[in-house]
Amino acid sequence: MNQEQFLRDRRDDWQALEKLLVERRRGARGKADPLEFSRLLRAVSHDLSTATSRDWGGDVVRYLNELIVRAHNSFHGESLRRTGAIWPFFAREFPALLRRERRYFLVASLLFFGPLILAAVAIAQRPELAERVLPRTILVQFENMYEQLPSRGSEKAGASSSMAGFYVYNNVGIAFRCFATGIVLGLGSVFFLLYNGIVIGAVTGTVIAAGHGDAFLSFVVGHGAFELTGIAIAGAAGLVLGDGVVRPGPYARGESLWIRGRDAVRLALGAGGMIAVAALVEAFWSPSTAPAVVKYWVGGGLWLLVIAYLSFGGRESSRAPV
Amino acid sequence: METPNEVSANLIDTVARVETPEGVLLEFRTAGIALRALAAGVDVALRSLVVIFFSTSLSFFSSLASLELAQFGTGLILLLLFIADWAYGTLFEWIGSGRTPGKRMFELRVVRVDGGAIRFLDAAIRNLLRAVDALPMVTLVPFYAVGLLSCLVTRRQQRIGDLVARTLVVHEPVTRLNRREKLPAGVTPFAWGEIQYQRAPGPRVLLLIERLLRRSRRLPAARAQTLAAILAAPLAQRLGYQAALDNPLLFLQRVFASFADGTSAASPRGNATGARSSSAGEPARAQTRAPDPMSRNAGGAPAPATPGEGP
Repeated sequence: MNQEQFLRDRRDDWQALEKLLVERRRGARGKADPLEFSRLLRAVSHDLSTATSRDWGGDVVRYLNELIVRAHNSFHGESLRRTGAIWPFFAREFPALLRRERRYFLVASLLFFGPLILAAVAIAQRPELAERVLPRTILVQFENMYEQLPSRGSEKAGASSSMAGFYVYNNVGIAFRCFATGIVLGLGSVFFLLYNGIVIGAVTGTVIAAGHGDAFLSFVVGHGAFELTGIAIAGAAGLVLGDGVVRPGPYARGESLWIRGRDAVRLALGAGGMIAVAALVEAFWSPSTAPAVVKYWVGGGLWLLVIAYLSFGGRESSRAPV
Repeated sequence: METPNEVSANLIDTVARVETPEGVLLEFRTAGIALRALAAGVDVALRSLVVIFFSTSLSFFSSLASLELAQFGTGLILLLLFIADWAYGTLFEWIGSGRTPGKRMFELRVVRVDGGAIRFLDAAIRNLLRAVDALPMVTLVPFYAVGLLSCLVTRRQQRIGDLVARTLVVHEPVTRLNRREKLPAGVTPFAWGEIQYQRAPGPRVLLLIERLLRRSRRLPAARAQTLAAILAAPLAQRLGYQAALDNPLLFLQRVFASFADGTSAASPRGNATGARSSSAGEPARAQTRAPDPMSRNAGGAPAPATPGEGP
């Protein structure tokens, strides 16, 4: 058999496979017979082997190679667009995964909440320390912002939704950056956790020292449950990634990075989801005119909710044998 | 065993090889930084255009609508900005089986290192880690120095995100069969006596000739002749071809037409076929394989009757 004969004899199968691939891409999966697809894939694979072993080179090999690459992807790829996986992920997978990686979460929480509380307490006592963290002009802005907090409730849904957009854009971005920079031996995540902890603590301390503590704390307590925890989780995800580089264990470094990376990105996506929820709470509930007492109670409830969710969500699946 | 040439070719080539469950070795050509940068540029432009379009139309309509609606629109645009920054690559690579619009334009695709289509998590990993590859950011402009360096030092041109997600960006230009690389039509075999048919070239030599002929149309004419001459000179000597070699390419075409009929290589039958085809002309053409598809290409035009070539 020479090349011209080969082209003539086998072309029908190639065209059939091309047509089938187009059909599958258009989503007409029901029409494409899987047995026929399997037969064609094997037949054309054989053709590529033939063409390669005869050393024909050139267009025939290139064409068959590309055809099989496409067929291979279509045949062995997962059926995409499974949006149905979103709910099980947040309901079970994410909290279960976080509990499995709780050591990282613990470290990340210490790195984040530790400096936050320290800075807040220290600066509430000695407000002049805050200027070592943030410039005076910005601190003054924060002091003034919470002076007239209750009046913000008079603003309507419009302002709230524009703020919600901003919080998603800004805060989820911070969380993702905190995760991604963990690849640098975890150092990036450590830096962002410390940095954000200190800055948030400094603002808290400054506002308390200025005498607006009640207005501020009642404002942040609700969304803080989701937001602060979310940032700590994003940092934990970065630490998982960094640990994959530093301590690959029995794996090659690339391998370990891949295995840990999949868990890490799940955590980061979950953290992103929590911070998006926080954005909604922050925009629509936190600035409401409800009395501070109500806000504290609701905020406390939200903290309990988050803790319960992360401690008990997906318990069944975590106990099941893996 | 790889020869030294193959080893160095593997070091230089940008080909990633993957064996499929069907037992066939697929070749992926990994995409270089230039093409990827162009594709990324198109994606950035596209994203910016969408965001700019919506924000200008918002600022136009907000003069008509109430303040509240305008603020609501602002919220939506900030959400859009978030999607453009963080979700664009993931969503398009997930839904478009590895291709963002920019990649589609430059015939690039993201695949797993095993050659399979990428899944949601793969896309999410490589696009979240873009934040690291894009470093350093200088006044909000990403310089991609990290990603660039990573592409340059890794064998398969992977940036950090690709390494963690185990993905490759491959270049897959669409090859159409038989548009190029046709064998030239209407070539007459040598006459009996013009060359020594009993000294037929072996199958490897014929294959070499065939590959050169198929490529020759894509080469500049002078280059094709130069390459052909390298092969033609020793062949002419071996075959005892007496005339001047002023057109080496044509000479190779005629050698190919004389011997490449499936039975050529050094068998006595090959000699006989060659002899008959060259002397009898028209009727013998049906037996010589090589010119056969050419006549189909020529749209059923009459085969070249070449009385002049006969003895």
